[in-house]
Amino acid sequence: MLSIKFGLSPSDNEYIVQIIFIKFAKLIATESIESPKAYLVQMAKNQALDTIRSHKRRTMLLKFANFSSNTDESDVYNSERILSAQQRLEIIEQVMQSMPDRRREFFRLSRYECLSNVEVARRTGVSEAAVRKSLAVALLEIKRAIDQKTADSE
Amino acid sequence: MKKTDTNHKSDGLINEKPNITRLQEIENIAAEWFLLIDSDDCSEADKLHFLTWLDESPDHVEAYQALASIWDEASSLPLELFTRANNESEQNEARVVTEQTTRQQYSLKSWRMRFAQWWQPYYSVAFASLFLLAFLLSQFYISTDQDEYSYSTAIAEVRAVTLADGSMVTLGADSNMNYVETASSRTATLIKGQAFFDIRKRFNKNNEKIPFFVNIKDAQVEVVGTQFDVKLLPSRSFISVIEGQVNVSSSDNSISLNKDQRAIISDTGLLQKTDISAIDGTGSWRAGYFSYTDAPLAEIIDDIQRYHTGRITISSKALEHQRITTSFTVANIPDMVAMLEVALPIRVEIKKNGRILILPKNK
Repeated sequence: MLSIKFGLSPSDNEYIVQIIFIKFAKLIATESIESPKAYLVQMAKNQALDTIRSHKRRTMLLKFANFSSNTDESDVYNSERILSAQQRLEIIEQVMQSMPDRRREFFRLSRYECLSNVEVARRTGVSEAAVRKSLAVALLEIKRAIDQKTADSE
Repeated sequence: MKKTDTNHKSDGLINEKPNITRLQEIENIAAEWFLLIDSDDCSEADKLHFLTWLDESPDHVEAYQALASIWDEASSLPLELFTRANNESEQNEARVVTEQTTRQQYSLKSWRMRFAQWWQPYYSVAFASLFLLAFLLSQFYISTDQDEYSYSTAIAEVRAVTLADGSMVTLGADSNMNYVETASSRTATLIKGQAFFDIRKRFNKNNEKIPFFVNIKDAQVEVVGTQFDVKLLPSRSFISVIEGQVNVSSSDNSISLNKDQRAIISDTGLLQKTDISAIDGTGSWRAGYFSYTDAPLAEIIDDIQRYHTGRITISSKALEHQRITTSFTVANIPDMVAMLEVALPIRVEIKKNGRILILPKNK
């Protein structure tokens, strides 16, 4: 269904299905869901859209890759990484714990539920511009924390 | 100032500090772009401008890449991390707000720089509006001592929202609510429809409880931390308590409600206290389940109407006051109305467009 609707590759589909089932399994343990089927479909849709956005970003950045120092196509994102993926996730976690409740909620809706900014704004009752601003701050906070850690470990 | 991006040693030797600020400024702009580009209200002109910006410097591309990478990584975090409650966060709030204002200034400065650089007719219009937007946003952040939110639902839409203080509100269909939060008070105003409140206790700096108020058209409900339901119908309003205690005051009177008690406020402001029958299942509407004990037909229809798109009309006053005990789910509203034919002396006509007519039974 996903590949027909969104034009994703089979490996992407497997990735999405795997992710939503992991998320869903955790979710049913914590809250009650009225219509599991509708919920799964919506989740798959959100995740697929998010994957597409991510793909678009990578494709676009590849066009600019020759301007930057690294030209290895498979490594668009992983330029000169000092911290391991695990360390980076730990930092993201720490930063998230220290966020004010509202920003953490925006971040959760955007990153965990993969909702668009418009949808996050609709669910929380604030303007889309406010959501964007808040998420931009969240992103910067994480980036600075990672930079700090990288500088410390050098 | 934090030390950032140690990968840029090339020009770091000359003068480290301004270089760091420059990279942070680039990051600030990159973050703004990052959130805008994925947005639905990003125009073609914005996209074009963004690509031009990326093209300007490899540093721009790198900053954008770094943020994109974090963004993707964050989506694979486990749920527990997102939901863990954190009491420290409020203390951090003040600090974060100042930080935000500082960042805002950074980005304003850089926008101004850019504004001067791109003094071309086409860009000037776009920049003027962006500048204005940034200015308005900075105003918004400076005056954060009061946060205001508005929530509304469509017909048949039930939505759970988490308020800024962590309290949970389930908003019934066709409902409208505002919420204002300051350092010393929390106030929700239910304008229309129904809402179920699960209020979290909050304390101010002096460790005093911050009250939570729910305003409705002719009464005010004061709570500290509890679960209760507020429903507005054209003729009457209901406040039903599931847990804890609330105080209700109207122009007429002031009463306190405990668990399993309900206040009914008439349109003249008259306040009445009743016990809730166990069958009524206060708050069960959140799961799409409705239940009534000896309720007037008009009241049930007013409730259902918010979940049904076609207009439901009761043709005579006498029928409106017919009392009935019933329960049904949101999925079978037309069936439920049709079933009323058996219980009451009525005839039900369901039109193709969803319109429902309730008429007296023909002799």
